[in-house]
Amino acid sequence: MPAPLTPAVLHILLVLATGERHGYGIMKQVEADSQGTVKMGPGTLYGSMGRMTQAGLVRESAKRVDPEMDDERRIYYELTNAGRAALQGELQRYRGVVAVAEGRLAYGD
Amino acid sequence: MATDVAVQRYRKWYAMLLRLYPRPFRERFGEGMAQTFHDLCRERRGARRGLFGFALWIFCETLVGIVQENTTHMPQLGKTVLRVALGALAVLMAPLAASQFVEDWHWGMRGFAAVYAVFFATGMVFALLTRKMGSWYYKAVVGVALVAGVSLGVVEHGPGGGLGTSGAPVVPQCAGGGGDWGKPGPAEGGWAGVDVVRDGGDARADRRDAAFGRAALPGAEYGHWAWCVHGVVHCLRFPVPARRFGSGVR
Repeated sequence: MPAPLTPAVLHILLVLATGERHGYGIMKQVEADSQGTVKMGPGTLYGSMGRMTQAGLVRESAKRVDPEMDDERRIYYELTNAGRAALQGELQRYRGVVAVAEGRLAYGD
Repeated sequence: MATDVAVQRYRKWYAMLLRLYPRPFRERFGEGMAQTFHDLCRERRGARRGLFGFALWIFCETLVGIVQENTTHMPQLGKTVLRVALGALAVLMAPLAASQFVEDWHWGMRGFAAVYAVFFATGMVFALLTRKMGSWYYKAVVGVALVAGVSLGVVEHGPGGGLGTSGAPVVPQCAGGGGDWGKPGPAEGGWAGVDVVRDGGDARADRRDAAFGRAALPGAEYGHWAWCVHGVVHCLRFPVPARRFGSGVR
């Protein structure tokens, strides 16, 4: 059974599941998804990206301009099939935990 | 409010900080990190919010990442050295902070450097002695012996003893005055600690608990050596009447 993902990795995978994004875009989406509870700086984000790239979960997709920002070219990242599988595996694990927790709470009632 | 000049300045500093990453990581992600930092700064500037606190947080967060990335690619000994160096630095914060509040505490840069060297050396001895010990009990024994040994050298040097008596600790006194070796003080407590650990190690070793003996004895001996080196250095610099050696140096 694979080891549980760290919160940072899980959030990055969740963001990239909807499509490719650049570093700043990932950060802002993680903040929005977690309703401001998870704030990662560039050190955490790119440290996680490094490990995820090495594990084959994400890859660089292209370097291009973000039309919603300035005319600077940015590096975009996308999920790989392995990354999608890791995300699904983690969600499955969460479902199992929730099922156990609900069973315990129902037993407690 | 953040200005363009401030953003440029912080971006420049951030780029300098990124150079501390290992080269492969920096070549792969450095540009993206600098760009992301710039984007974050511009967002703050757009919201007319201050940059200093934010930049400080990002710099600290990135510094943690730098340490992690560097230790990931380091051999085990390098990691140990780095951990001990950072640990010694953390321990040094205690006297550094205390010196701000205690009167007549004048170590100076040289003094703090010397104490840091002692902490670092002790940490390395501890790390090397305990690297193959599985039991935290044995590690604790070595730790106690080392702390007792170091306390002999650090707390009790020079005339009038250590912090408890004159308030002027080891290093400045090493640099500037002789010592009263026979005077009771923290050294005797530290010395007793070393003896207790050594004797405990002896006793357990006699009862065939060899691991305990192996754990306790080197630590106690380190304390003895620390004390002896201290004595030699002290004598070379500040001749002490021979009669005093009888009561203080063993």
